[in-house]
Parts: sequence; structure tokens; C-alpha cells
Amino acid sequence: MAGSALRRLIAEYKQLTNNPPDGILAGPISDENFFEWEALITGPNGTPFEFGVFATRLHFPSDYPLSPPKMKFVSEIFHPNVYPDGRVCISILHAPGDDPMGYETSAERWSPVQSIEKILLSVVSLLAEPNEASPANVDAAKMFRENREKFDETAKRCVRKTLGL
Amino acid sequence: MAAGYEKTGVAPSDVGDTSSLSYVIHDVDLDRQTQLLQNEIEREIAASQPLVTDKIPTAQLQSEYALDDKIYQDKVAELMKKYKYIRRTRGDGNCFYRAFAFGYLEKNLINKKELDRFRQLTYDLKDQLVKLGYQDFTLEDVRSVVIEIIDNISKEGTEQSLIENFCSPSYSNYFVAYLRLFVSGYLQMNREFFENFIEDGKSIKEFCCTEVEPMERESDNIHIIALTKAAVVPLRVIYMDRSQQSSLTIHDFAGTDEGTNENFEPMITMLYRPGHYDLLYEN
Repeated sequence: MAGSALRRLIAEYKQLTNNPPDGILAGPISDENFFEWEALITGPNGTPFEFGVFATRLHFPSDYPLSPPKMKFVSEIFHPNVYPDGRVCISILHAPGDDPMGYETSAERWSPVQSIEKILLSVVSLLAEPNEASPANVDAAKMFRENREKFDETAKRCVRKTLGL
Repeated sequence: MAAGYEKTGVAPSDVGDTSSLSYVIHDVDLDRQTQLLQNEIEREIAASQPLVTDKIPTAQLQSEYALDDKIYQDKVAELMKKYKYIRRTRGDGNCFYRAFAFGYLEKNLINKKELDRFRQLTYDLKDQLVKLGYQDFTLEDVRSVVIEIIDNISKEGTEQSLIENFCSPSYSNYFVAYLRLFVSGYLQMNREFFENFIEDGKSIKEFCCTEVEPMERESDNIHIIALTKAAVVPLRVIYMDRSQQSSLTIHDFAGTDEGTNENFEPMITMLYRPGHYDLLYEN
């Protein structure tokens, strides 16, 4: 059903291009392959990630949207819910039926009526409000909890890096 | 599926406990390890269990239970009196929807009028969901696959082609996904009634987002009521569990509000054993 997946991805790309959400820019890396996207996410205002422009990659499975895409930060980011290798730990991205971290049953889950836009907006919210219940980067989670000043400083260092400063 | 995390021995409370941050390094990537393990289990199930099987004599059920398991052996014997065949579905959390879709289409293989009625409902559902606030592009792709399946069945459907369609995960799963939306839409359009049956203080919308729309979430009576009413398809479920009474429990779900009566004629009959639905046939 890769044909259906492709049609869906094209429809989502049109939607995101015509009505881009604030601070988000997303699209396929090349015209040849609609199953690999890049998304640029601006750090939300009033957070230590403010002014940062973080590059991420999304990989879509051939049965998208029945299964969710995989998402990874390419830019370095120090965040409790992002693994050191860039993978994002967020409930909306987990494969259906999969509940490894014992998320609250009310946590947002992937389903075919979700969208790329909703994923990216959820990630923006996660930047603003880390989820302490499912740490992916232990050092970041610990620092976020115990030494907020140092955490903010480290986060800002990543921001400067994304801007090439 | 629900026991996914138990297999790794990590209970939610271990992870959610923020009072002590004594995480150990090997737990960090637990998320990924669990996912890999889960994928492996799913692959094993997929390799050993087709999404839907051919019809199998119900007599085979006898060998599934110990010979001295009197409660179940009695119930299987009771079941065999009326139902000669069972068609199994894969136990992947989608079994109720898959059984419903297959059972319905099989029953109506040569009933063009009925298929046309269902096709129209399928077609109209998208606009109803858009009115409820869903984005058009998240529905269009799923609907078009389902319409395509119905049209193919209408044209030249046979039991064999149906089995082929439903053993192909993509086709089969798109149908499951859309039936989930039938349930979601019906619950939301009748929220005053169904609100009373939702536990955990969830709103109908939250319930639909977490327990109905995501693939592989299992079905309860509330899902069944909503789907039979939304599709207007009468369904009979035969319950087989370890309860002491020797007779089988029968539950009829009417497709309309007129209620059930003695002349209830199900379009689909399912066998329910704790956690799983299969299809039943009288002959």
C-alpha cells in the first residue's frame, strides 16, 4: 500500500506548505523519496531552547499512517526526552499497542488520524515542557531536576550550535 | 499486547517514580530494547498466525483444552451442536474489527444492495468526521482504500479472494483503521449516552483518541455496540469462558434501536474467548 502512503504524504506536505504552523518547516529531503523528511523546529519562546533552529529527520514506514514515522534530532540537543543519539521519546511516536514506558493511559497515541503536523507540535511542547516520567537522556533528566540553571546553560549552548555560533 | 511492559519486568511505577532519580544506565535504552523485543514477538505471531484462516471444524477446539477440563469441554460440545466451523483471526488487538469486516463482507458477497448501503455509509463517514473537527487529509486515504475493497468485492468477490485481501496486512489493516473511525464517530455523535459508560473520568473524545482510534487497541462492549449501530449490522457473540454454568452465554447486538427479539437474525456470529474474537458458522 505504499501508493496510499505516498498519496497521504503528498497531501500532508501540501497542507504543511500552505498552512505552516509557527516555527516549523518540514518537507521531503528530495523529490525522489517522499518517505524521508527533514523538519526544522524553532525552540519555543521563553524556554532555554528559544532562538534555536533544530534540524530533525523523519522516516516514514511503507504502511504510514497505519504505523507512525521514526523521528530523530540531527542537531545536537540536550533534553530529558531525547536520547543522546537524537531519537525522540514521545508517546505519539510509539508503534501502536506498544507501551514500553507505561505511559499514562491518557497519553497521546499514534493513530491514522494523527499527522506530521501534530507530531511536530507535540515535540515543540516537549521542548517547552520535558516529561520527567519518561527520561531518555539520564544526565539531562537529572540536571533538569536538580540544577535547572546548569540545564538552561547547556541547552543554550546547543542553541548557539544550531545557529553556527 | 496490554502486557507488553510486563515481559521486561518493568512496571510503570518503576519508571514514573520521580522521587528518586537513581536511574541505572542499562535502563536508559529500555524503551528501545522493549520495542525490539515487541517487534520480535509480533513477527513470531505474524509468522505463525495468518490474519484470517480458512474455515476450520469447531471439533478442533476440543484439542485446545485438556481432556479433563470439564467446563471447557462441555462448552465446546455445546458449541459444536450449532456451529460447525470457526474462522480464526490473528490475536493482535484488531481481531474484533477484522472479524467484523471479514464476516460482514463474506455474508454479503453476492448481496449487492447491502454492499451498496455499506459503501454509502463508508463514503459519508468522512464528512461526518470532518464536521467533528477531523482533518480531511487524515481520512481521505483510508476511506479510498476501503471503498476500493468494497468495489472489488461487489464486482467479483469470492470467499477465496476475500481471504487473500484480508491476509494482506495493508488492505486488511486499512479496513480495521476505518472501522475504528466508525466507532469513534458514533461514540462522539452520541456522546450524551455513552459518556456514562466511560471509566477513568475520560471524556468521550479522550477515550476515542486513546482506546478506539489507535491500531491494536482491544475492543470492549462499548466498541461493539457502537460499531453494530453505526454500520447497522446485527451481530451475535457467543461467550465461552470459565464460568461454571454449562450453557454458552449468547449476547445479541442489534443494529437498530428496536431491540432484540426471538427472531433475531445476526449477519455475523463471533466466538468470544477472554481477550479474543473469532468467526463462527452454522455450516
